[in-house]
Amino acid sequence: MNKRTCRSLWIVLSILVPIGGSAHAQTWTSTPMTVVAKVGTESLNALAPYSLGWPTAAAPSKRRYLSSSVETSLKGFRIRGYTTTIGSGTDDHDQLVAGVTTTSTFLNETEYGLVVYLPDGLLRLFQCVNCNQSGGHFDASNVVFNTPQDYYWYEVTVNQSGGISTGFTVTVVDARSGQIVQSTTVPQDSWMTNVYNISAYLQITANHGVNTGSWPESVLHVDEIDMFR
Amino acid sequence: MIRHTGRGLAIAMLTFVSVTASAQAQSWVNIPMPGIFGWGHTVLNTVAPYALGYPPCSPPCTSHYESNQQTLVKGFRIRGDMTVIGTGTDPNNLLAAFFTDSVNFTGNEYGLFAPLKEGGLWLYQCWNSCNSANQHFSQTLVWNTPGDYYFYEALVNADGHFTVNVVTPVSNQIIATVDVALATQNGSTMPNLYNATGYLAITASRHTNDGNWSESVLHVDQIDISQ
Repeated sequence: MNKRTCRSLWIVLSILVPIGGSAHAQTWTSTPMTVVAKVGTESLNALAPYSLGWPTAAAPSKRRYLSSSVETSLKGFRIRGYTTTIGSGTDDHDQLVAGVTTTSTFLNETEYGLVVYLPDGLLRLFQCVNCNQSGGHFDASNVVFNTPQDYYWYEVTVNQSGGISTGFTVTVVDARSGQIVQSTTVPQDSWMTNVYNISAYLQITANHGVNTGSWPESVLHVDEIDMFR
Repeated sequence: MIRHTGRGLAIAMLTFVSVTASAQAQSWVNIPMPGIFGWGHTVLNTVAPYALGYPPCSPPCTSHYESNQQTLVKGFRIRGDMTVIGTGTDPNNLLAAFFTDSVNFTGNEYGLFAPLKEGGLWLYQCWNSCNSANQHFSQTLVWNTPGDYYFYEALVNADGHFTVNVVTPVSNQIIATVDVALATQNGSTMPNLYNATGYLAITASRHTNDGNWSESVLHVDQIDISQ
């Protein structure tokens, strides 16, 4: 290899490496959502921004959006918005949620995401398998941000090793400047299934789980929801 | 509301006064907003909370809500915020909550609005056939950060002047009060709208295509009138 050939090869490699790198670059993609649960005959915004008020109808009741189709190669999600938690009550089943679910029926599923229990108003990372059945597993013990009442991007990305998920990173980002406000890593629970690069749905929910509290002024505001691929 | 180039720009007069010096005793009445006009006939929430995104339609266009006719109105309040994100230069691209005494928006108006270019929350007064070429318009800066989640109250006093309160929604504490006199232009004074009959409206208005405000949103979780 003479010097000239070597230089040419270097130039080619210099071009190919960035192209190869960008081909695998992970991106945020806005996701349309479809109303799948509401109260009575009401309508909800068909397009973002979405506002889900805590439903005052008797428990169990909810307002919910689900992504319009199953999304492939999911590696996380983010929402731009905030929650308001105004009211009284003690049961954590009254909650606001944004997350990922592997089934649209929420049966025999795997889920992860962000949840705000209305009694304490803190933002938590949750993970679960067979979430709503006996024998399932659920963990929302990790508080990742104290004031989800603030307007930010809330990002959840799945960490992986060898293509298998190992945990989650929750990043709070200023919606105007793009500056990171806080970043928290949460390890994956031992019973959690692989959620890296999966096919699943995005969902946002305002859940009235029990009749012991009153949170009619609490709202999940989602001005934008994106999936991470 | 549409502002014209000849509008009067009142000097911001921020006057913080005590709670006891604020407007008359209030009785807040929650009202529905059955007039629903999503841009391009898009579906919007039929009950509160309401979220009006800056509409991605050909200007001039809006997404907005209107109430039924209300009587004995002494002001209004919203619980929510005006999120302003983007860039642009036209002062008529805006988010607003207001009262009008005309179903066609051609009478007298007052309200709170966030002009996306200028930022801040302003009380405006519009009279002499508002939204026509002959209108008179005046605006006063009343709060710098409408992206904060509060009750924003615009009250009409018995003599017609306005009091704007910013109130925490959980503890109900007044954190700022601004009194605004009736505006005068060219010898014409804004009419006294105390105890008026009219309509409330909230709107996200795209007047021109001069910028990109697609991430701006008016959040109104509750809207009440003072009677």
